[in-house]
Amino acid sequence: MAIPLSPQEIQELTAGYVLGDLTSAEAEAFQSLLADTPELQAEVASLQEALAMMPYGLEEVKPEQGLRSQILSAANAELFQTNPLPKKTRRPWAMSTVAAGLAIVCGLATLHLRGQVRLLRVQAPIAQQGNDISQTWSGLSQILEDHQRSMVNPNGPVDFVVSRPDEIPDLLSGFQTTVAALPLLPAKKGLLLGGSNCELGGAQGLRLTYQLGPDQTVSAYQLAVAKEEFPEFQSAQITMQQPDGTGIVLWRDDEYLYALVAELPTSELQSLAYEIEGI
Amino acid sequence: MIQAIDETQPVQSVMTHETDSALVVRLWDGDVSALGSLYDRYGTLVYGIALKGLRQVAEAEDLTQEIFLKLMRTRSFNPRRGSLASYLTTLTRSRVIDRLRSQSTQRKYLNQWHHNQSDVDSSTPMKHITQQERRALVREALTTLKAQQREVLELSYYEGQSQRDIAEHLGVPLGTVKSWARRGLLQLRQQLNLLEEDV
Repeated sequence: MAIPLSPQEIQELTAGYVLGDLTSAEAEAFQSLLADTPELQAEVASLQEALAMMPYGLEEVKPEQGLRSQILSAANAELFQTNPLPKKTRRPWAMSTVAAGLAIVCGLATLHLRGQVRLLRVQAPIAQQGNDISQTWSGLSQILEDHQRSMVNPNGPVDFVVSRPDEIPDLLSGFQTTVAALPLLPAKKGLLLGGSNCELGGAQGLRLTYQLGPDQTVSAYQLAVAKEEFPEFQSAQITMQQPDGTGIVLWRDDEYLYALVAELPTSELQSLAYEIEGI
Repeated sequence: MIQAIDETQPVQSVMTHETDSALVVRLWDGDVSALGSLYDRYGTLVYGIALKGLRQVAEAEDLTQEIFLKLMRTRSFNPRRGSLASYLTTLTRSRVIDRLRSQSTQRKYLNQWHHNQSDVDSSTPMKHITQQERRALVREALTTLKAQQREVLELSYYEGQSQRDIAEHLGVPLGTVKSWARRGLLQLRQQLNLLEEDV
C-alpha cells in the first residue's frame, strides 16, 4: 500500500471484512494488511464474535409447545427408521424377495457424488442395497444430478407447466404413462409446477416438480426401468441421505421405478412417498 | 467424533448440568432425549432467528426442526471450533438466508464458521455467562447504536441483504450504508466489551 492507513481506517476495513462488504480493491488491501500484521486476526475474531452476538438482541419469542415433541418424534423416526409402511396404502410391491422384510425401510446411507457413486453403510445390512444399486445402475447418480440441475436451471425446473395432472401424458415425448401411474402428490401437500422428459440410466421417464413451500421443491421421478435391469429391492423402499442434505427415496412397482429427491430428511420424503402411493 | 469433546470446557453450573458437548455426543449415540435438552437450551434462540428472518411462524417452526435434525444428522458440530450456540446461530442464519434467496449460501457461511471459529471461542469471556445475561448485555449494547446502524446490520445479518439492496431500499448511497454497517459493528463490539467488563 502506498499510504499507510490510519487506525480508524484499519478498523473500518476490518469491520468491512467481517461484514463481507469489501470492494475488491479493499479486499486486496486488507489481505496484504493481514499478511503484514498477524495480530489483526484477533481483531477479526473479536468483531466476528460481536456480530455473532446479534441474535441475543432479538426479542425473545418462545415457539409453540408442540414444536419440541414434533422435533423429537421426527428425530426418532430418522434415527431408527423402523416406522413400517402403512399397510392399507401399500401397493402390491413387485419384489419377489421382499416377503417378511417388506416393512423394513433402508437405513441411512451416505451418498457421494464425486467420481463414482459410493455408499457408506451406516445401518448395515440393509444399506447394502443402495450400494448394490449405485454400482449396477448408473441412473441413481443421474437422478441426483438431474435434480440438482433442475434446481439451478435459470429457465425454471420444468420443461412444461401444467395445471392438471391429466395434461401430462400428452406433453411427454418418448415415454408413455397413464395418469394413474404418475407420482402424484395430493394438492394439499405440494403444488405441481410441471414436468420434464428425462432419460436417466438408460431409462425413459419423467420428472414432476412440486413446490412444498416458498423455497422447497421436490422432484418426483417415474422411470420405465424393467425389473431385470435393476437390482432386486430387498425392502419396500430405499432411502439415502447425502452429506449436503439431499434425500432420496426409491421404490418401484411392476413397471416403473419411482424416486423422490429433495433437500429434505428421508423421513419427510418417505411420508411424501406414502402420499403418492396412497392415491 | 466422540474424542472431540473439549474436556476443559467449563461446566456452566453445578450438579446435573451437562455440557452442550456431552449432550451432543449423547445425541449422536442415538439418545433423542439429549436433543430435547438441547432444544430446551437453544430452541428459542434458533426459532427467534428463523422468525426474524422468515417472518412466518410456520416457516420458522419448520426451519427450527430442520436445524435440530441437522445437528443430529450431519455431525458437523465440533466443540473445538466454537460453542454450540454459535454453531446453531450460524447455521440457522445461513439457512434463513438460503431460504430467502432460495440458493445455497449455506456452505459459504458454514465454511466461514469452521474457518473462523477455530481457537476463538475457547478464550471468550462471554462463554461463562448465561444465555439470559447475554441477551440483556446484547440488548443494552444494541441500544447504543444509531437507528440506521442497527437497521443496516439487521437487514444484512438476518436477511442476508446485500448493502447495495439495502442502499436502494433505504434510498441512500452505498457508501453511507457501508459506513453505517461498519461503524455499527465496531460500536457493538466496543459496547459489548465495556459491558462485559462490568459483569
